[in-house]
Amino acid sequence: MKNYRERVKKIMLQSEYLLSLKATAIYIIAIIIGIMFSLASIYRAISFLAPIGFIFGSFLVLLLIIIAGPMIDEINEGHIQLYLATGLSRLEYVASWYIVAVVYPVLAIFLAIVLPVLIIDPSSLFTRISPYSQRLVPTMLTFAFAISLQLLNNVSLGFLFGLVRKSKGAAYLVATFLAFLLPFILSVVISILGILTGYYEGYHAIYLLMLPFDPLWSYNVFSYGPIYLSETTILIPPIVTTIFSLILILNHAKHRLEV
Amino acid sequence: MDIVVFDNVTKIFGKSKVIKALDNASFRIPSKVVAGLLGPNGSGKTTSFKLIMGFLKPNSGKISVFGKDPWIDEYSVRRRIGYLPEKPVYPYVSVYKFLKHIGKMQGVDIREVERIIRLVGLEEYKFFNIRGLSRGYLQRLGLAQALIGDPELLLLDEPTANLDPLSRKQILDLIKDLKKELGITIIIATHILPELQEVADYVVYINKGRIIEAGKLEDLTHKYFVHTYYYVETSDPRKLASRIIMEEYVRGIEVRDNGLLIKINSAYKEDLLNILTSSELSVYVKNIKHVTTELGELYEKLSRAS
Ligand SMILES: Nc1ncnc2c1ncn2[C@@H]1O[C@H](COP(=O)(O)OP(=O)(O)OP(=O)(O)O)[C@@H](O)[C@H]1O
Ligand SMILES: [Mg+2]
Repeated sequence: MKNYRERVKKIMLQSEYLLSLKATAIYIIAIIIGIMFSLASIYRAISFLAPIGFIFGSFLVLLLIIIAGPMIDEINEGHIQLYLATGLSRLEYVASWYIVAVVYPVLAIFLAIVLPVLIIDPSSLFTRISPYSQRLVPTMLTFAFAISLQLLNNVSLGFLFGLVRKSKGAAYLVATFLAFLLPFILSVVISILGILTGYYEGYHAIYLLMLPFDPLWSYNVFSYGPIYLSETTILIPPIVTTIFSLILILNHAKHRLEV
Repeated sequence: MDIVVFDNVTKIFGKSKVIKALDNASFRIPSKVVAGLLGPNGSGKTTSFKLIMGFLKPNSGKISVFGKDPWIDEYSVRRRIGYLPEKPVYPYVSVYKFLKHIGKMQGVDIREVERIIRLVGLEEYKFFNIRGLSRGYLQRLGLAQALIGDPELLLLDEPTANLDPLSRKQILDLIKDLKKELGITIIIATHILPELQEVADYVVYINKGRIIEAGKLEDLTHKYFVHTYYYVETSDPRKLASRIIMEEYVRGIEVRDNGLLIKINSAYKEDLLNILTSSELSVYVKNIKHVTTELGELYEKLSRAS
């Protein structure tokens, strides 16, 4: 028990230190974006925001994975050796970075969206955010969860690949792929198949591939067309992949990461 | 007790082009020695250090540090080691902020951190950004972070590389002072031999990942017939000197404090000891001590042996 508390204390100390060194500017940008979104929803500028909401979520993914990038540099260049030499374990080191690059900012963005609405006009939280469709569109609150989950998911997977390959490029590529390219590629594939066969609806199921990674885009896609899923159903697959990738990250740090 | 034990350790790098950085290496470092880890470029010195720190996982063989596996028991091993990496890379913060954090992580009092800053001579630069430090001061910073937390084992990877003669001497003096501290074991990886000669009493020689020799400096000196130095404490240095100089195997004599520093080829160790303990001279002789060895010569002979 004492051991466990020691560990948590060390992880927090290291995170606090990392936070004081890196990426403060990026944190601030992310929080400002969150607040802007929040205010827009309060003042019912949603019809303007909703279509770009998905893009702006993906943009935040890039912002966060850029915070995680320097970890890979630290591992490759050798800063990490100095920190590990203090008695920090590899797992604790990686966990500290995960907290700084993923947990803290996602929490900050979630609160930046939800808190102002809660304070100024709580009813806005339950307003549906798409002006186009009544069938399946998330409420403001569900949207906040979805955006947090999308961030957690995409950044964790980017983090995982970056760590395993010891390459910043791999981290950026995976995160970009999941946040932007995957939905785009799937749309293109479905369109092409549709054009070739003249049978559009049948290929809609291909979009299910993005379900474990892109809750934001999933809301966009599964709110019309032949397949529709409930708000909570859409949240479950990305939760599973996120937990799975976190386990892989910690396992890699503990058993395989050489520095 | 042996602090570091390598038992048939092999470490391989690369997948397509395989490099055996360590090849069935076995050696041990007893506690409380100053050991020199010697060998040409690319022989596996830094790799050995990283294995001791648990930064790398051996492909086969067993490593034990303080009786534990450093890859598994990360905390309990590393907490007791101070490590100066070969090419340390620092964050761009002030000296003070960085060292304070290193101290915090080890639960060390801030006054202790301040003491070490003074010890390595970094006081003036305390609030400088690390980015602005010259090489010599970077090396001091490296020593400082290694010394924080009262390590029982110090690993110094080329501690005097790239330093001017004065800084070199200061850092060497620091190492000498540390050596006097009770209970600390120091391993120094280097190929700058004359300096190591002043402090080392144990040598591991490694080449292409293979351990060629490991043992007490005095034993290796003897085995390879290398020139070596004895210090003889005496009541009458002049008289003793005038007598000893007549022996043809004596290569040099120097009067130092209350004694003589005598250089001989270690092949003649017995002859020297015999004459010093003979009835003629033993009245003057108070104490005989092996001081050091021409490490350069030993190194050359070991290189040829491998
Ligand atoms: N991370 C790595 N990836 C691939 N090869 C490596 C790696 N680290 C070391 N090597 C190789 O392992 C061998 C031993 O390297 P090491 O750094 O241990 O040598 P060294 O004795 O410290 O040399 P030097 O005196 O130049 O510092 C070298 O051939 C080196 O190229
Ligand atoms: Mg080296």
